[in-house]
Amino acid sequence: MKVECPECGEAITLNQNPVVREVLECGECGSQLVVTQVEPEVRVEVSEEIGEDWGE
Amino acid sequence: MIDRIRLDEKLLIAAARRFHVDVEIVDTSSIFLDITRFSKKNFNAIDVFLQRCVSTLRGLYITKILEEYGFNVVNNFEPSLRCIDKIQCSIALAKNGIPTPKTIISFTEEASLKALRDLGYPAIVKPVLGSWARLVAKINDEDAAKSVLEDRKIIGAWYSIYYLQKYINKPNRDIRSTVIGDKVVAAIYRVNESGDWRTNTARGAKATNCKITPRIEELSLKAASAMGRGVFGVDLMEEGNDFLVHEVNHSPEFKNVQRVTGVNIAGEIIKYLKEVARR
Repeated sequence: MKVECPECGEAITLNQNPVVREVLECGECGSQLVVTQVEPEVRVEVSEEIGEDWGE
Repeated sequence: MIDRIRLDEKLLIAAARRFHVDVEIVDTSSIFLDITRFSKKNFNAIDVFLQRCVSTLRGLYITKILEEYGFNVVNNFEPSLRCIDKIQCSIALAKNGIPTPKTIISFTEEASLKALRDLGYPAIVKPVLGSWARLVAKINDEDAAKSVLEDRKIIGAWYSIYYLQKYINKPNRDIRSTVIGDKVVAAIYRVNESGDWRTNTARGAKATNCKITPRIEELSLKAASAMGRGVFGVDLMEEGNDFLVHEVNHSPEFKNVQRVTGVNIAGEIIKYLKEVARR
C-alpha cells in the first residue's frame, strides 16, 4: 500500500494494516508523518512538532 | 492509551495478539471525558489500561481520571507523578536509601548561585518536569550559571524552580534498566561517542547490551519500588565502583532495549498487564 508524502510528494510504502496515529518517516525527505485516516482511504499528515512535555 | 503509535506501541499490540489478549486502542486525541458525570460504559470491556501517551501531561491526567472512576491503569497515577516530577523522584530515591546525585532545589537566581557554589562546578541544572534531556544543562562556571538561570526565569514559572545537581564524572555512558513488576528484565548501556555528556538515545546515544549484575538488579528494583509498582525505566550512572540512580521513567520507550538484548520487553509488559487484570 502506498501513500504520497505530503511534504515532498514521494510515494511511501505502508504496511498492510496501518492504524490511525501510527507514525512513520518519509524515506525521501525525512519528514515525520502520522496516519490520520485509514477508511475509506489512508491519509497521512506531517506530524506535529515535538511537544514541551513529550517523553518517557 | 496512545497519542502516537510508535514502534514501541506496535510491538505491544503484536505481543498482545500473540498472547491472545484483546486490545482496544484508545486514541486520546479524539476522546473527551465528562469528569463530573463520568460514564464508564465506553470502557466497560477494558480490564486494565496501559498508558502510553508521549505527552506526559495528557497521560498523567487521563490516568488520574480513570483511576478516580475505578479503572486499573499501568502505571498508577502516584508512581507516574513521582517519576515525572524530578523533585518527588529524588526525594523518594533518597528516603529509600538509594544512592543518587546530590540535588539542591532553589527558587531564586541568587539562592541558586549560592547552591551552585556549594555543589561546585561543573554542575547540572534540569527542569523539574521534562524528558529526553530537554533543557538539561551542564554549567561549567558562575558566568555560565548566571546566563542559564536568567534564561530559565524568563522562560516561565516552572523553570524558576531550580533543580540543581552535582555533576558526576561518569564514563560516556549510562545504564537503562527495565523493571516490570518485581523483575529487572533487561538492561542496556547508552553510549554517547559524540562527546556530548548527555547519554539519552534521544540525543544520539547508541544502545548496547548491559549485563544485569546483582548490584544493578538491587538498585533497579529498589528504585522502581520507591516509585510504586509497575513498568519503569531506571537510569543509573557509574561512579567509581558503584552506581547512582538519577532518574526513573514511568512510560519507558523500550524498542532499543528489545532490539539489543533480545528480551521480549513487549511480551513481558503484556504478561504483567494480565497479572494486574487478575488482581
